[in-house]
Amino acid sequence: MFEVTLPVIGVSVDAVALVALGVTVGFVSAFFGIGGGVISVPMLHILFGIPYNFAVGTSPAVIFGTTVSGTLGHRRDQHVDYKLGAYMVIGAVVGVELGTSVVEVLKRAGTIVIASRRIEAVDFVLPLIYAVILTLMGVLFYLESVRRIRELRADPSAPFVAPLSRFIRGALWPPHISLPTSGIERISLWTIVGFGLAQGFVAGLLGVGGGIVLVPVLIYLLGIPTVVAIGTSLFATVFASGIATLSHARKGNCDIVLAVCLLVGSTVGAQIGAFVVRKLRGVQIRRAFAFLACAVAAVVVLKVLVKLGFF
Amino acid sequence: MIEWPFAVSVFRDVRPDQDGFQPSFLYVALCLLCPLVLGVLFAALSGLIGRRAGRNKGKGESGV
Repeated sequence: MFEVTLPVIGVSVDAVALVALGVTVGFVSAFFGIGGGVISVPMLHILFGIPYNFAVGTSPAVIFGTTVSGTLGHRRDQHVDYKLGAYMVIGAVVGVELGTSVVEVLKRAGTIVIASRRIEAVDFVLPLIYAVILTLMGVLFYLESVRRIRELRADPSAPFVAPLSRFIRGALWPPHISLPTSGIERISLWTIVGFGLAQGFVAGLLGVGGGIVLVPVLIYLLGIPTVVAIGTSLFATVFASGIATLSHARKGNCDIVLAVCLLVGSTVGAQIGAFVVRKLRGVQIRRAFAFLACAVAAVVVLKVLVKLGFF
Repeated sequence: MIEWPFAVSVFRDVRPDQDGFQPSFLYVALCLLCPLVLGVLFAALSGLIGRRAGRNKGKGESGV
């Protein structure tokens, strides 16, 4: 309908369809408090045939714009723990570089043979990592939401207790810091830096912001209030995705025209998602997320099997 | 179809002898600046719309 040539990737795509994908990504992002890369990367490959290294390389630029916008919104509502976010950024810087380096190694690996069929290593390994992470998150969220619904049925005012937060907060490696905004009196600095490193690695490797990992970690492992976890995750993701954008752009994996088309749509979708999410309870959102994550994982695996010629 | 003849210098492959697209410094800077400007612009717009509609909540508050 409205063809546009992506200058770096060298393919022509429908700009309206790209903006529509952006709207969907923005909606999911605001609805679940994640960057949205976990949806946009596989969908760019499946719907538009964009090679994984370009999808992974362009997605951080979109997430960077979306999270800048989201963080400024949360800043107005004072939902950001800047101290926690800043310590996580230290780990994220190292993690992003490690993640993007793994993508480069996969790019250079060329084609591999799976069940006597040839496929690009990057187009086989990355989707599988995606599928494993998504399935794991989906199953965990589903089990937790079922447990929480049972709790709320028994006692509608039952407080949410993070199952592992006591153990994680008790780690003794010095130096220790306190995070009053998040309600944490004492925690090892290395625990926070380690979470940042994990976020950065996932951001660099998969082209996601890392919110899909970081938000559950902050809620379930550190026991931080959900709104502060989302605001702080967005703040940390601004830096992780900014560094990932620079790193991928330098390596020629980022297409700026593709990024702008998606970003225009995602900002509109984010407003729709933010409107809908106010009408739902947290546990309903977590259950919806579980189904979405498992559905995307199934589509990703199916696409790899189709590419290998099994269907 | 939109093509980009007017922006050839931005999308220039600075080392065509090497594998893949090797971007210029200007291109790398634009990859960061364009999303930053769009993000700030949309945040300002949504804040403005939110104030006019009498609601000023951040996105995804009930979250994951």
